[in-house]
Amino acid sequence: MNSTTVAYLALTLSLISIVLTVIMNAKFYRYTKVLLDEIGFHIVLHKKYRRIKRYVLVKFVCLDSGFETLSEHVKQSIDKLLGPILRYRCNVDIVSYRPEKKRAIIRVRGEAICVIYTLLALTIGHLEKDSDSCIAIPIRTSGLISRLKYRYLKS
Amino acid sequence: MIKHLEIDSAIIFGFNSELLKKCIDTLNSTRVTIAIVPRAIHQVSEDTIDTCLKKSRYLLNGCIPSDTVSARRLAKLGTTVTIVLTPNSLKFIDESQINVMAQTPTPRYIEIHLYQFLTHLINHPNIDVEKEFYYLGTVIEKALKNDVAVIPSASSPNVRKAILVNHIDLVLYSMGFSRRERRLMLELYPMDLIQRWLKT
Repeated sequence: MNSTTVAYLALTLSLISIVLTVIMNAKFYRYTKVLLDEIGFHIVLHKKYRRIKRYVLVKFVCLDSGFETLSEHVKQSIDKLLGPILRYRCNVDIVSYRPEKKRAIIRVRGEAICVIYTLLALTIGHLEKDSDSCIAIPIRTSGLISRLKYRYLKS
Repeated sequence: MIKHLEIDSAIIFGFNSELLKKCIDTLNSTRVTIAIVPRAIHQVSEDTIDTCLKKSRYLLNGCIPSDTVSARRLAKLGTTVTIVLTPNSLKFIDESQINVMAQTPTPRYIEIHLYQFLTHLINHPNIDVEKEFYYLGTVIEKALKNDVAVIPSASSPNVRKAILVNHIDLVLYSMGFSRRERRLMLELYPMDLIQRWLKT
């Protein structure tokens, strides 16, 4: 028996063991999960609620004046469109606001889906029946506020 | 269009004069090349389907089918027209129609009037909005899979209710379309349609 056969034997053995491990793991995964659940590991390891934070840079196009009162209006409109059920998981705030540049930064905190819903609310806000508010155009979203600074400051 | 058409005759065609003047002012002030494509959208039934073919050299026609038969005939039509999807015409354009469109030698174009879907979403809380958006999503997906061009349209009744490209992009994103699919719908297919229309 030379060294090559020994090497091949070792290789097959290790491969078999890996396959066995995978099979056993798949089979017993449920049981282990239940067991871990019973012990209370999931409280330590698993996080149920992941809260994220995103900043959205919004530009406004206004046909009339009245941009000064817009800040309140935008928040009201978003709150109304999100509805009470989403509001308990999503926090929308206007962080920074520049009337002269017609730009605002909106912060969304909460679950990941909140960002999409907020963007959608911004998009369709001006389509409401008797709204005469400005058209909001979400330009860019980012996790860091500093990334938006350059675009925010330029007119 | 301004080169070829006087403002007065444009108003006779049914354009808003105030809007047109605004357009001309903006066009004169910018140096970007802008193409204006004259459109006409018809609501057609089985008998009136020929209106889609009229003036197709000067107008880029769009047709809203009002029953299944007209939708099927529209899918087979030879000229460059768009088949318009609104909440009302949505139920006539299903998988079989898209299969027909995919088999025709000339490419077919589906145009989505997003404004009506979005106003349904906001202003009429009673109707089944989720269903509409679900059907819309499945139709778009099916069409994209079969290489039928889908073009979301930004048409809206007035400037205050304008839907911009960013907005369309966001709505499509929230419906779950990937970046590639959105670029297809917003950049590639519209250019393709206009090129094909200019050739005919």
